[in-house]
Amino acid sequence: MNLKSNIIFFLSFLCVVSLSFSQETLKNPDSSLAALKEAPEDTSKVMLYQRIAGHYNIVHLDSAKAFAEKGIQLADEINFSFGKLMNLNVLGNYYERKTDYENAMLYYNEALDIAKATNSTKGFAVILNNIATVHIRKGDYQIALPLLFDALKAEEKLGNENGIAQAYNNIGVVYYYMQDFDKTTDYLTRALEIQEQLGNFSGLQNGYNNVGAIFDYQKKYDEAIRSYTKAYDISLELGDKKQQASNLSNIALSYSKKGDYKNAETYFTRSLQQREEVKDYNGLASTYANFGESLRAQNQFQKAQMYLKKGLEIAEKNNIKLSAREIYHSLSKLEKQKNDHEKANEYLYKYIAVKDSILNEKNAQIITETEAKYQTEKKEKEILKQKAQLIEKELEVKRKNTMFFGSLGLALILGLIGYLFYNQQKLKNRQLQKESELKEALARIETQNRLQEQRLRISRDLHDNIGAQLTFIISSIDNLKYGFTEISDKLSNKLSNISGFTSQTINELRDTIWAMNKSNISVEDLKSRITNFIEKAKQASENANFEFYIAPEISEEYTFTSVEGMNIYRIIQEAVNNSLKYAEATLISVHISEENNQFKIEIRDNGKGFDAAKAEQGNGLNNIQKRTRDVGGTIDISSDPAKGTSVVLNIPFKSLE
Amino acid sequence: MISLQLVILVVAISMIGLWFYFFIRNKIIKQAHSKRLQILTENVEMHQSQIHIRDKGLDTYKFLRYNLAEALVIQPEIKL
Repeated sequence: MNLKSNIIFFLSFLCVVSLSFSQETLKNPDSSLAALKEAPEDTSKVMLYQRIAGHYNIVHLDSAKAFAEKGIQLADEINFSFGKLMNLNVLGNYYERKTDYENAMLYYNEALDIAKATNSTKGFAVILNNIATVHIRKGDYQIALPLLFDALKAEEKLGNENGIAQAYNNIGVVYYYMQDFDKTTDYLTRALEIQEQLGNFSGLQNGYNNVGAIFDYQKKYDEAIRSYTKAYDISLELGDKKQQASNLSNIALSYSKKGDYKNAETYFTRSLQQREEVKDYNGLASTYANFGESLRAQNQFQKAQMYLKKGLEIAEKNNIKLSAREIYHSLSKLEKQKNDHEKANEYLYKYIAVKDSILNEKNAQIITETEAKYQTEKKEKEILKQKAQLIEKELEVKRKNTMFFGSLGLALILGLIGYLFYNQQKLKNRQLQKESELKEALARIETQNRLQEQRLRISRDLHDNIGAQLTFIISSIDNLKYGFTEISDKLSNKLSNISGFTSQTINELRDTIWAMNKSNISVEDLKSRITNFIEKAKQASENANFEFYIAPEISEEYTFTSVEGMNIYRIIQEAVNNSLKYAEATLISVHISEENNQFKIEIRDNGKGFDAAKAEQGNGLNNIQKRTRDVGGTIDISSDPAKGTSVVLNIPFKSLE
Repeated sequence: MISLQLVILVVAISMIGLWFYFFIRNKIIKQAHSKRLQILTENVEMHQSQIHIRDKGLDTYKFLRYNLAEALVIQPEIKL
């Protein structure tokens, strides 16, 4: 009894799956009809005809045909193959539902030809499945099977896991009708595995339940119990108590058939408790019926009658005719066993009456189920629409994000270009500045070099020409002096003076030329030249002693201009020469020191000295005074005939820098 | 639709490309600058060496010996 109901459920489940490819219900059929009136004669209108026809296939079968036919006609006019295929498929569904299998096959085959011509694998798979369904309904299982295998191949080519699972299911159904239960189990198991991978728990629960029913039918009760237990585990996971009770009831039934009445009673009791808990009266009536039948099989007539009566009470109270029918049947058998044939016949009549009424009610139930299915699909479509809107919103957000990051990226690139240009310009400016400084320095040094070279060449000319001419004059004067034997002393002295003056002119010319070319003289340089001069003087005058001293506080790094250095040197040279030449001194000292921020140079001797007031200044003293003025200093010449002469030269530091 | 990853990739490649282009360009500019600096420095050094030769000549001048002619060394390579 329960097995039978399981199988019915199993088959109806598969049929729904197989037809779901082509059956669709419209959310708002009125607006679709309105849209159809205003739609232009194009492909969209063809598809609209198909959708409306599909909708009426479910809700009002008689209206479907006209729409599908119009769709086919329009598709022909505008040469729209796919639209024609879809409308032909709907028309085929229509005839299938009308149980006019001949016409259904006609339209399905036409649709199949189009699917082949347009290489539509999906269309091919769907049409083949539907053709196979017609063959199953006609009982042509041998024809249906290869078609289903072709549909399976097409689904495998598409990689459509759900389609593959459905094809396995349908193949399993064919094998079931062909009484090949091993293959039925094999294909249903494969379908189950895929559904397991896809995570379709609800489908899995039903699948295991159905597989259990097959095993039960084959009297493989242990396998049946295992499969029912799996279904029970999934129901537990889903928290579906009603389904749990149903699974427990099935397990109990398998135990009962196996002869394990102890376990059967335990599971029946658990199932009854659970059904009481969830107030599942339909289930309660069914389980009481099964439990009663199990007890009847054990010849426990009293107990069996008690449970069967309980079940009958619930079934009659809730108008559950299916359970009532089975209970009447069991009670009839029970009374027969008890040899109460009158009561057995009474229950048998009641059984037949309920059975007849069920057939009528079953039709009404199908209509209700179709309505429920329509509502469910409607809700599913709404969910799909919401999902599509969500996806659209996500895409919009993604697009905005891309725009934002794109702009950010562009700004970054522009910023980088700006930075790199700025950096490059900075580098160029630095280089230009450096180059310009170097060019300036080069220009300066080049000019300086050329000027000095020019000055040097002029000096060389002066030295070679004027110097030579002056030397010639000296030589000529000397020749004059020695050429004339009788020459007065006065003239001789005059000539000597001219010769001496010319010699001095040569010296000064040379000094001027040297100073003109030399840039500066350091204190150290000056010191070495004075030392050198004193050494020479020592060699020339054996009787005279010399002292030369430079105060240590005077830095040797002080520098004089060449003119200053030359003038200082010449002043010292002149003073020392005077001491040697006129004073006949035995001690001559040269002291250079620093005093009151001035350079102090003292040249002293212990010679004869002279009276400064009476003495006539010669060229030597005049030269010393002139050179002192040139260096911006002051000079003090003092002499005492008894003590000697001192020349003190003061030059401010400022002028020395 | 252009994906975010593609945008990031294009931006990254562009930035690296730009940086590399400017790196090479700056390197060329630096090399040219360095060459110009070298020429200028060499010229300055040449002039300094000529001045040094002249100064050295003048330093050798001895006052008492009057050998000024030896000190006045003309450098024919300086074109006036």
